[in-house]
Amino acid sequence: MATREDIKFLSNPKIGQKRNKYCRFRRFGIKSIDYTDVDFLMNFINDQGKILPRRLTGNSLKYQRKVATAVKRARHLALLPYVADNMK
Amino acid sequence: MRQYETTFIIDPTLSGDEIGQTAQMYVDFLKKEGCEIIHLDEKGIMQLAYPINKRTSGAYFWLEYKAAIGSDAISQMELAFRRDDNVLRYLTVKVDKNRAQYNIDKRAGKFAKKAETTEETTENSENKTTKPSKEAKVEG
Repeated sequence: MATREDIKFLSNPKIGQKRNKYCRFRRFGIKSIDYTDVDFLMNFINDQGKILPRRLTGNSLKYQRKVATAVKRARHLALLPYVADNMK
Repeated sequence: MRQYETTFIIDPTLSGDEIGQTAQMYVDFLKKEGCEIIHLDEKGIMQLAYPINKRTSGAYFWLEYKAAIGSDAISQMELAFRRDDNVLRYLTVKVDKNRAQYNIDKRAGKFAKKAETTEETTENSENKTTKPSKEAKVEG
């Protein structure tokens, strides 16, 4: 027989919870986004190399614009691809 | 004087000396035009994300300098870049004060990469926002 303690963890308690979104640039005081820092820019693109929307990353508008510029500069310099499959 | 930075990619099929000479040529040109060179960073031969002119790798150079406002040194340099077949790509960016500070910190090695970065990218593919590696950036 399953006791009450066992049943408690049958479903993931975090499912259905709302995760707090925040702008990492504002929270951690990052003022400059480096377009040569590919590993960092990888956080803001999906596996096709597309720029993720603010809806998913939680960036504020000001920094989303800067992220977009940085990704586009990195693409021009062939640090990131314009089109890709399975980048991650 | 206003601060700029230029990244350019040189054809890797040239010999090591020729690559260095080509880069030095542009540095000398800027010096002659009265620009103040702050730093020349040779990043070495790196893999390109997509082929350019049938080359799959390139020698990256990153040049930081100050040029007088209104001088046409940069436009002349870009014209030379376009005429030079050995330069695959170039990008000139105006540097604001945050970026200038970032560059100084970067050269001082404040943003040394941690082992965490690889873990972080896998986590982020599931659209999670993670803290640890960001803290390395906070210092700047």
